[in-house]
Amino acid sequence: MTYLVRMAFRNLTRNRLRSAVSVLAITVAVAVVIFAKGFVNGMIDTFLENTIRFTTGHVRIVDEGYPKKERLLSLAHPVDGLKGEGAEAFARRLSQLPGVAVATPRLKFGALVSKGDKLEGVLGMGLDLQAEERAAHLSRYLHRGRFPREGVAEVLAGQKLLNKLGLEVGSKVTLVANTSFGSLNGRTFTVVGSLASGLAQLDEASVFLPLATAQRFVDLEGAATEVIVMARDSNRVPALTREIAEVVKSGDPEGRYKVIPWYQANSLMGYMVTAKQIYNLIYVLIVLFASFVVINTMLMIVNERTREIGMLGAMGFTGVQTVTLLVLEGAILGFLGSTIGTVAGSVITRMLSVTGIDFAKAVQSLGKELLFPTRIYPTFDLGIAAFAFVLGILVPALGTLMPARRAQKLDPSTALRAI
Amino acid sequence: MTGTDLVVLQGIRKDYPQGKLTVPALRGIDLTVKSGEFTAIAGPSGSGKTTMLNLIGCLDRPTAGRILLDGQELTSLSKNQLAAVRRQSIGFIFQTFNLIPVLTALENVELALTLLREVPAAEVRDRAMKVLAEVGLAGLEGRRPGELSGGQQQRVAIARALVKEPKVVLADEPTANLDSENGEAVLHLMLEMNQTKGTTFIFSTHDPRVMRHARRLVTMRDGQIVGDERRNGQTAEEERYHAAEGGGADA
Repeated sequence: MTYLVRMAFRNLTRNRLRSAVSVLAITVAVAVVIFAKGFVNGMIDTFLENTIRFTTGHVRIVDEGYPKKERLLSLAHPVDGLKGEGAEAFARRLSQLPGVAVATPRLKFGALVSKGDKLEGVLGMGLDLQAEERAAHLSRYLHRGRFPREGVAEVLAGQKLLNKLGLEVGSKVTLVANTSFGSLNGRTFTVVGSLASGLAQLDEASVFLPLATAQRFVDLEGAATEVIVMARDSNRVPALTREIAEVVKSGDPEGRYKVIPWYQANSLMGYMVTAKQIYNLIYVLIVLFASFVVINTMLMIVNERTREIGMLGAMGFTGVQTVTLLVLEGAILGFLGSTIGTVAGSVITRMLSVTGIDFAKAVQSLGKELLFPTRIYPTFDLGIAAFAFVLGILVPALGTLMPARRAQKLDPSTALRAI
Repeated sequence: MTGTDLVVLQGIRKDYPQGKLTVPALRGIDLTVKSGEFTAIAGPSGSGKTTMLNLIGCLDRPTAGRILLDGQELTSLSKNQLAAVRRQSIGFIFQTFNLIPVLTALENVELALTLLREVPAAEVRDRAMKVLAEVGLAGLEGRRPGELSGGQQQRVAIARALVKEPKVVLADEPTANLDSENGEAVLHLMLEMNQTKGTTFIFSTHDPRVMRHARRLVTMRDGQIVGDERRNGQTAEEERYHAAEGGGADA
């Protein structure tokens, strides 16, 4: 085997330019795969994480009529727990399940914010701000000021919303909203803090207030529009969904509530999961296309070396040895290209995972409810690098099998007659 | 000098399909070559010399007939078994040398031994160096074929063929690509190896100067043997060669 490896290495020096081009093709492909996988994973994972944290939770419990009215921010389908125990008690009951990290009620309502002659439609969110630290983790986005306190007319708002209205932390603002009874209610709050998350929905169109304050404001005491559950282990969400469904079923015989895992929350979430798998196929195709350069090189090599292959056959080389020699040559090209590509791709992606890529313009055209960040941070991990590295060796080596098999079929006496 | 029947061809026919036609290359060949013989197969182009060497060398299969090498029937062997016979028992010398350009002279010779998988690694180098010295290439072991003259390259090819001590060395027009001086030198070297090591040589040629060296001259025409001349004792060329006492001219 050692002599085959030595011969394979030496053979690649016969036409250095051609070998270099083959290596370069694999280098570029592997580097592109590492960057693209890091970028796509970064984008999709950030989107999924944001959506899970702010919208769907790992599991969400809502009234069965709520999903159809959710876009209208209806208050007609609240969650008030099992047998009227109240949304907070229901969340505490779910929190006791071993797989649950946190369960917390959220009250979402539509509101208008006015300041002088300026008026903006916003999403009001009544939150248990303490519990939300383990769900939405809002404190990391706190730009100025502090969180609102319970029992006082205080709100937290997106910084861009404040800018649009010409407000700042400490300003007074009037919120007008429909109550659960359909009447209008208005109240003036003090803005005690602002958020800057990079997410349009949060920064430009949301106000946050303590759950109890929100419940009183929209006349929905003890209730919420949903209870979201964050799992301790995100890989165990399907099992946790079943456990929660059991708990809900035991206290809700009429089946009023729906238990929805994040991946069934809407078609986009499912698409994102599928998209990652499709992209994996695309990465294989990228390397395969680059491997065509290697395969073409190997085809040329077999043509150029027909006599030599015949001579090796005459010396007693078996078909398997001929295939091994040529596949080794393809694998060495792949190995060199893959090594350089993995290093280059990893360095670039690692750097961009710190600096991020500005995506503000692209995100502007998307709806605010899609929680795409304006700056995307490609993810880089050794798994991605290993994936691309192995792909960069395996695909060209397997691709070389075709020309190698052609060489294997050459009859030594015919090959020796080749010009 | 000659001994047992080494190569036996019985009723060998070889046809090549050419479109809808079948072209006969060999039309019933019977030939026995004894071990230690230095045999030339002579004849014009298209007479079937190379086809016969290919059949003896297990590079091709006959359409009909039997071939025995040292008593072993070759016609019934599988592709891999034929490769094993080539590896162990047959040395080849080609008209165009066919050395591997990326390996040095030494590595080209070593490869033939390495493929045998029977010789310990330490011995491979020693034996290859020894044979290269025997063919007059001491000091040139580290050169690649591109850095050697045609005559030197053919000497490497001879060393490669001989290093594994094969039962028979087959040489297809070994001097055709060499000038007359180098051609002579290569012939002398082959003859010397035949005489000193007792290696059996069968080589094809259509060059009358080369034929003169042969101790047995098999003449072919149109796929048939038309002459088989055994020269008892030394040929005039051999006498001259021995008078010069190992005077293999430099390549």
